[in-house]
Amino acid sequence: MFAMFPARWGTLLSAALLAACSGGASDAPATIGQVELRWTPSRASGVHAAGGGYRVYWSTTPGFAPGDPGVQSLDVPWPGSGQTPATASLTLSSGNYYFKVVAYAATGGGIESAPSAEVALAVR
Amino acid sequence: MPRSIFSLLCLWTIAVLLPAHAGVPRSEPGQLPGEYVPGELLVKFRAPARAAATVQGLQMQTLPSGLHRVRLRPGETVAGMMQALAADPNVAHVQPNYLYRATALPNDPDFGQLWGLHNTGQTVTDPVYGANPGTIDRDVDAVEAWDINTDCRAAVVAVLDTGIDYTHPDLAGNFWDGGATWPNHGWDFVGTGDNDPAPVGGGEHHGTHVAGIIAALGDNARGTTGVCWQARLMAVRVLDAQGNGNTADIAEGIDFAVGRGAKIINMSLGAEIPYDQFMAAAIERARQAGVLVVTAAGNDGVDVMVGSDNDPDTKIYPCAYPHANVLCVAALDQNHDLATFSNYGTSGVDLGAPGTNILATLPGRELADDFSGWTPLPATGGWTSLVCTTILGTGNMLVDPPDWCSAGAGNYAANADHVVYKTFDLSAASAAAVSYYAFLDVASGDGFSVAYDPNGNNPFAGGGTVVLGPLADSRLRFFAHDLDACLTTACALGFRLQENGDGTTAQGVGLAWLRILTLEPGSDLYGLYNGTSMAAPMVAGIAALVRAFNPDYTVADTTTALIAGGDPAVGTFVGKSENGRSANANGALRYLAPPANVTVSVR
Repeated sequence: MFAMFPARWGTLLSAALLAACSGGASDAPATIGQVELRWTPSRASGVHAAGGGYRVYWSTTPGFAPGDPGVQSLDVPWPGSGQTPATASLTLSSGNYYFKVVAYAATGGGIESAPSAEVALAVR
Repeated sequence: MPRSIFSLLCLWTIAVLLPAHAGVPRSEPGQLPGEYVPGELLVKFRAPARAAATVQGLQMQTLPSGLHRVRLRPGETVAGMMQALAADPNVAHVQPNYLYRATALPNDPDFGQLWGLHNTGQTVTDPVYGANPGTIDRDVDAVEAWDINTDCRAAVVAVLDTGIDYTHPDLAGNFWDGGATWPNHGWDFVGTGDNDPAPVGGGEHHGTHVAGIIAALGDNARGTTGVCWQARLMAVRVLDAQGNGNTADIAEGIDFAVGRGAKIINMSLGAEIPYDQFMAAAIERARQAGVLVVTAAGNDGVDVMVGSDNDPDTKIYPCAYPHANVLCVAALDQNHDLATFSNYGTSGVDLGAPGTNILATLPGRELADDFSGWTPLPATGGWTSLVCTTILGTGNMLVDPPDWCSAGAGNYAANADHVVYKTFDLSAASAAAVSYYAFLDVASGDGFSVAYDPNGNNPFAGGGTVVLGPLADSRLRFFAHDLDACLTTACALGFRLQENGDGTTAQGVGLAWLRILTLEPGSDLYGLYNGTSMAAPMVAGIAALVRAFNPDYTVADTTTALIAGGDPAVGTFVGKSENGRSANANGALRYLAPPANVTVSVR
């Protein structure tokens, strides 16, 4: 159902493809959307260092929590030098999606921010 | 004379308040609200080139910020001249040069003692405040924070205070390098100003204590440690030896710190005054430069937005300023209850932090005298040492008449000429001062006097120097006198009560809380203080840890981390602050803001 493509360098990052919905792989394929998320870069040093980065969560349920069943995620780790990019690209089939982003760092054994405000997008 | 027994609370409130008021010129009576420098105004001219014509022969000094400090002539009042100048079209703004004060209480005094950094339920030795021991982990979690960062050098902290002993062995090495222009790590803005922000007066201990809370050298096998183990402290002297400063000097100090690259300014000082526009403008310049100003809530036990007088125009500043870069700190005790003396406010007070029984560096000694070993002349019937209970608490006092402390006590003797003195070894000091409380009830024409003799003799026998009196008065007063000309192995300090022969006497004199404070720069000395002055530098140190660890942090990022990373208020601190939080260094360093301004779109 859900395939992860290998992570790629720089802002191209890893991407995820939600391949099929109900009805199995033999159904007519849904529309595919290239989705891009952007946010203000964190000014916390740990996000731009080893063990730091962002994580994008999405769900088809509004008001979701990152740990809820069925919530998908994409890691945007520090690329090894410079700033961790504050963008992520996803490929999603048609539907209504809800997104949240967290920042994380290795500071003091590992910390993660609260989720960002939720944003929504309909892929047609 | 009723000498009521008040609770210990009163003792602290009074002890915190009164020393700061000593020796300060008061405002002219019935004039403008707040206290300000007599005979002086601060003016901003629309056309500075025509300033001299506008003030018509008044002495004037141009400050670096473009303000002018105008001296009035004898007989001219601040209120009157302010009204006259305000009406002049060339005057953009005119205001008094408000007085600000240090906010701490000195008293008698290793890491194990530093409960504010790490509360193990320890009992602080020779405490100067109750709630001792307190509650385990009611602290700023410094030990946990130090696993993340101990080094504040990337965020210069300017300490705007009294002088700082930058040669103290537990501080030297943690100062900002000002190069050849500022060889002593800062500037002295008091009086005419000079390049040396070291303490001047014997009692000038406040700034060194504040500096040590922020950044006494850590892990150096000596004395205490600050919140920061390594730091670059900028020493900016804006308060004099008595802990008093004014708008002009402090605003200049702010501009100096901002201009030299400070990221954080600690101001353990305040005043209950009307809105001080020139101070506000300096704080605004700091805000625009991305400088955080951490300040003390004050020690009056009142709401900062109300204050202790009944004047609705006056508030406790700098806390009452609306500027987003002002972080106002209340003092907590060893249980994280609000310290009884601390100001508070659901508007204005941002955070609580440890501020009782705080051990830190001192530039000299504080000798508490128990009034034993004094020589009374005559030996009986005049000055007497005894234990007495007053509104200052129960303690040793020196009194005249001998039954001063008894209910239904009589007056001092007609024709009295009573002297009492004691010698102190002040030979190690570079400066010294004596301070004490005096309950005075001395009839008109009679006199209470204070004198010293550097040769150890009766200081009223001819070879001494009179520093106060003869004074007739009837109220409780706090006095501080310089002993800088008495730095010998036997400095005799004496008091005298004289009746003028008219037979009219009064209830006499009671002396309490006598302290001799010395300066011994470079000595390895420490002591305990209470005050919001101690709570503010705790937060300034944490802010430096956070900003040094996250060099891209803005002021807003830093205050958000401090507040969101704080512990929930407990006990009597609940409902007493804007955010309901006490400072936590570990929480502030571990706080990570959620990503902001997330947008999503189909490409």
